[in-house]
Amino acid sequence: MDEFEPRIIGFLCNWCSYAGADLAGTSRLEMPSNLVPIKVMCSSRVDPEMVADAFLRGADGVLIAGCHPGDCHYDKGNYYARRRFAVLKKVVESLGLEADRLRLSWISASEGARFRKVVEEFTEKVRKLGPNPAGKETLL
Amino acid sequence: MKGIPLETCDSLRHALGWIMRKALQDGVVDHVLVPSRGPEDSFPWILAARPEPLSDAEPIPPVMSVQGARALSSVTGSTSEGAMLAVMRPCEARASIEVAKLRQSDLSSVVVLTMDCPGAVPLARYRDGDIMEPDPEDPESLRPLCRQCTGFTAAGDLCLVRSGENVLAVPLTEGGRRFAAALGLDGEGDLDEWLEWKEGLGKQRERTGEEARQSLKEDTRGLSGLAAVYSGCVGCRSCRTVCPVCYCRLCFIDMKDRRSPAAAHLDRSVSAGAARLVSDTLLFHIGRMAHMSLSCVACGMCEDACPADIPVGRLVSMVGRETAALFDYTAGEDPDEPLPLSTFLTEELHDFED
Repeated sequence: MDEFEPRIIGFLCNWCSYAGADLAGTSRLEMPSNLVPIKVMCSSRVDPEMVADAFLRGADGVLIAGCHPGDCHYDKGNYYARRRFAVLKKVVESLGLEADRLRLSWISASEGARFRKVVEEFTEKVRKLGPNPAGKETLL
Repeated sequence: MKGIPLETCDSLRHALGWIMRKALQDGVVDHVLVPSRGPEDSFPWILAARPEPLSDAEPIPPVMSVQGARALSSVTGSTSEGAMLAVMRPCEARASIEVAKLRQSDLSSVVVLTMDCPGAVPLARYRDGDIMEPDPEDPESLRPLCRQCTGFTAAGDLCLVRSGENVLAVPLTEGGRRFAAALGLDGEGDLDEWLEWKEGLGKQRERTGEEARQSLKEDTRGLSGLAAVYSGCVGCRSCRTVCPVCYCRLCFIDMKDRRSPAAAHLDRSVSAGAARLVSDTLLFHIGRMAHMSLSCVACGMCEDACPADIPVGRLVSMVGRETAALFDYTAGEDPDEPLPLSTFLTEELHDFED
């Protein structure tokens, strides 16, 4: 049987985390290729519904990454994002679903190495969790 | 704590009716919003501008026909004229506060009058002619969420309560005090028996709720448990339509751009072996919880409306208790406390960051 390769959806903010990912690329840092990046203008643009959708469609992990608190391009978007993420994670947890498949990280435009570290860590964590059962659940 | 005794009234209904009529007659308010007795044992809300239509008023109907907060928000836009008295259950008063905080209504010229709530009969049982009145001694006559309700009194601006044999008005806000004074209510009466009843029933309900939530949690645990609970969902979205705090004119689930393309279903049917159609049942319910569980007042309206007997209200309120606890928030309690998602602290929730 093929080894399980997690598929992770990453919502990256345009100003910090996407640029951080770009820096990791132009710096030729090697990292797992499991993350599918989706660029959003701000981490607070990510409606919890988008995360739930990815999760229910079988994404093995979902990452939201934005500017560090205090550094948001829009001043305070990431603070709102953090509250929304906490609510979604609590919803998922209280329904007995795997909240560990969701992650929120702050990655600045100059942190190419941190981007790599987050991707590596999260990929390994999700690899240990195994495939998201939502991918095989028919009655969703 | 003291109340204002209403010595001429021998029941809550009587006292509520008397206050409504007096408030209109004396010109203390221009309108009264209250459920009334309609044809075929129905209880539509009416907005009365004269005392006569109030002869049909039924301030404590056996069922919740329309959530009062919904009725209220439809007449309290940005420019509500004149003063209004809204007579409603405590959970409807709490929902009204959430709706106002969501900026869907303006309560500045409204006095909300509530009462000790006996609970409501499940709508379906009432329609079948099974149970016609809630029986406080028999929890089985109440809707499941009423059985675990701990907010059955002391809500709104003014609350009418029973303490032993007496009926008293308990002002809870400055607006409630002003309203009582304008009606000429005064005096001080003892609330000891009411307070004792409130505490006792509250504790009992809390225990009932704890047990009910625990068993619901076990039944719905994990994806397959959850999928099973919602498997009967007919996709009517009635839970959302009747919900007082679900106010969006266009819900995320109905947005054309986010509807899954046919190819996604075909792919899923290959990868999972089969795909449920129509899709996104669980996404709708989980998305709704993420969006509005913080403001859920556990009124149970959604559950009454569900044609498939899914415990939607118990699930949303169970989740809502946990999401609200993140911010130490209680829906419908404090009109001045900002909604958790409309504010933030710079140092908080570090357990959620990696």
